[in-house]
Formats: sequence, structure tokens, C-alpha cells
Amino acid sequence: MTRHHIIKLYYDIISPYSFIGFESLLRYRVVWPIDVVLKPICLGGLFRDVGNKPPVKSCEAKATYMAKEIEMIARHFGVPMIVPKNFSEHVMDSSTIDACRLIIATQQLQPEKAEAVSRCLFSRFWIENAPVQSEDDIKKALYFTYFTYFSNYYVLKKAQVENTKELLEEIKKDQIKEQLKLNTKEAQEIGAFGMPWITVTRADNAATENYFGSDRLPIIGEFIGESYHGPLRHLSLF
Amino acid sequence: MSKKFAVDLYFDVISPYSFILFEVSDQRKSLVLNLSNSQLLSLHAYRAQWPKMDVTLKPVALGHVMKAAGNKPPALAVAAKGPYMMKDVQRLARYFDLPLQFREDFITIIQTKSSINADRLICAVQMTQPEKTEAVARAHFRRFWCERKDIFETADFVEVLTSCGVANPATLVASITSEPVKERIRQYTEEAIDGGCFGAPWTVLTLEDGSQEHFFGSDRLHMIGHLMGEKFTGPVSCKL
Repeated sequence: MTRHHIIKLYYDIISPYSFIGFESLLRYRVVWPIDVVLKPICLGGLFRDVGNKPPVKSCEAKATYMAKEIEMIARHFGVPMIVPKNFSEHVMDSSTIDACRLIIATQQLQPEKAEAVSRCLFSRFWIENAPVQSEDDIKKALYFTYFTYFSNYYVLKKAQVENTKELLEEIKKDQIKEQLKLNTKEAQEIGAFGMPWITVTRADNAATENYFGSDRLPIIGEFIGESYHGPLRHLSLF
Repeated sequence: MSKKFAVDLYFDVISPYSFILFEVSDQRKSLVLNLSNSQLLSLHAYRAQWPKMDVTLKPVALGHVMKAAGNKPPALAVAAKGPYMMKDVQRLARYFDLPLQFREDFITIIQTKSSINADRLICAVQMTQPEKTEAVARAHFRRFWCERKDIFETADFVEVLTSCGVANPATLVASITSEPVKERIRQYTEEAIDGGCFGAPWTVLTLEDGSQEHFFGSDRLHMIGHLMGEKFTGPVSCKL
């Protein structure tokens, strides 16, 4: 049996290109021998520690450009993202720290659900354009059933997480808060300055490479000796 | 007569990702069959594969673009971006078989020197011997990014022009500071800024209905191709 290459995906729910990176990378498990380890981080904390800013805040021209580009790239990958109209004004107020803590809690208590929980949280913010700040928001993210605006069928998206109450209690614990800080520190130590950040360790352990952004899949493929097959839209879960 | 898509490529020779989007090859002139070595990637290699694409090179004063947009070179804005960018650029160059190597003094160069005259020279060539524009742009890129030589002084420019077989190199170099040449790069720079540009490379594609799409960076060729109804298949290999 082929040994798998290990890929770590560092991300935050608030990061639009993280959603694109998350969806596009995970579907590549179907065609590449890779294991993906999810590493939620606190992007606000990372920015502060490395002296960076959200691109939409650093320069108005970037904000204008990103708003158009994100939707185009997302469509290319079959993810019906919508950039909220007020994103550049409210990005600093929309904390996703509890959302990321929830992913970590899920990784510890119901690890097989961590991916689904991440997807629900991303979807709520980036497709439904609803907040993921309060406990109530998060509950809604996990149980809300919605249909996509771009198709004529219902897409049932329930994380089917058992014991949501227990998970929501868990995120208040110091240990979970600490783990999020540790993930964030880890990202900083390997050179990350933004999200998504992807680390690839080849199965033969010969080398590890780091990649910033959601547009390096072809290069990652070359590193692990695999071909890039495009956006694999047929594998989109939306 | 088949429709052409106008593609404006705004770039500065000091921008590594601009070089990647552009093309580098030692011997190619014929874009369809290169009987020598390299894989070619870039807008120009794809010009052969994508005959509908009509590329116009538009050098800009990148420093001015960034200032107008309130932006900074990545290596200077955030410490961690510098080392990452150098690795990323060299990794991309390897992928596309470009012999690019960062100069050790790159950070010092971008803080102390300006590529404006190199960019103005490309404009001067475009205005007087337009068929040499691409060759001169390539020669500049290759000189700085592969040969790791300077592209700042008169002697550098004369060497570049001579290597491209450009007539009257001394006259052209002298015209760098003339008003018409300065006006040409000023015009391209303002055009880029008005279109929302904040960095290089910046590609503007005009579609059949006259609408425009803008792309930042060297990793959007698949989207540019898609909008022209063309397929992007990665590095273009022309090995014999």
C-alpha cells in the first residue's frame, strides 16, 4: 500500500482563501495519496505577531480586487462563496475565535466530525453570510439546513455532531484556548504570515515544503510526484 | 477573421513574479516550435497555443503604483514575506524551467535602486522599433533575474540593446529621459492605477463585449485562458 504524504492545512474561518484552500485540497484526497491534518489557528493573533494586516485593510485597491477575485476563484472550484458587502469594514469585528476553538474541541472529542464542523462554519460565514461569533450562531451553523442559491436541489448540510452542548462547554476550557494558541504559534514558527498555509511532508520523509495561499496545488502535486487535475468541481460538496 | 482578445500586461522588470508571467528562453523566437531546450511558460508561450490572444506589453513604474495604492513591496512590508517569497519564486521558476536566481543583495537593491530607466527603455524601444519590444523586455528580465547583473546604468542598457540587435543603441538610451518616453510610462502607470492595480504583474483582459477583467499575479493564467475559451495545461514543453 502506498505510504501517504502528510499535509497540514492551517486556516481560520474568517479567511476567504482558506475556505477555497480547504475545499480544493480535501477533494484531492480522492486522487492523491495524501492525509490532511486540519490545523485551525487564530488569524488575528498571527497577524499581530508577525506584523501583518488583512489585505482588505492594508490597501483599498486590494479590497476591491479581492471582492471580485474571490467569487471568481470560488466559482472555479465549485464553491458558491459570496463576499459580504461590508467585509472590509467589519472584518476586524467578526471574531471567529470561538468557531476555531470549536473545531479543536471537535478534533479532541469527535475527531471524525472536525472536517464537517469546519465546513459548516465556513459555509455559514461565506455562503450564508451569517456571523459565527456567538454560541447561538455556532449552534445554527451546525444544524442549519439550507439550499444553495446556485442549484435547484437541496444540499443537506448537517454536521450531525453528537452532544453539541458538551462541545460548546469544552471551548470555554483553558486547554482548548491553549491549543488554538499553540497551533497559531506553530504556523508562525514555520514562516506563516497569512492563511491558508499548507505544509507538505513527502511520504519518503525526504523533504517538507511550505506553501502560502490556495493557488499552489499544481506545485504541491509536482513536489509529491502527482499531476494536477484541475478544480475537480464534480467532487464539490455544494 | 477570428476574434482577438486584447491582453495588456503591466509589469516592472524588478518584479520577480512579472518575470515568471512573462517568458524566458534562450533561443526561442518561434513560439510554436522551440528546437532547443526550455519549457516555456508565460503569456508569450501561450500566445502560440492561444492564437486569439493579442498581448501588449506595458511597463509601469511599480514604486509609483504601490505609492498610489498605499501598498508596499511584500519583502519590506512584513519580515516573514521576504524569505517566503524568495523560496516561492525560485520554486515556481524551477517548475517552469526558468533559470531564475535571486541576487543576494535583492533587498538592498529594491531599497536603493530604481528599475525605472530599464522600464523606460522598453517603452523607448516600443515607440521606435516595436518589433524588438519583447526581446528587449526579455533581455532585461534575463539579465537581472538569471545572469544576476545590473540593469541600472547606461553601459548596462547599451549591452542589452546590442544583444537584441536594436539599431542606434546610444540614441535610444539617451531617449530614456526624453519627455515622450517618460510620458509613455506615465500613461501606462496611470492606466494601471485607474484599473485598480496595486502591484505587478497586472493583467487586463478585454473581452468580446468590451468589458475588462483584471488579474493580479502570475498564477491566474488558467482563469485568463478560461475567459478566452482556452485551456491552461501547465508548463508548455517544447523539448525535441
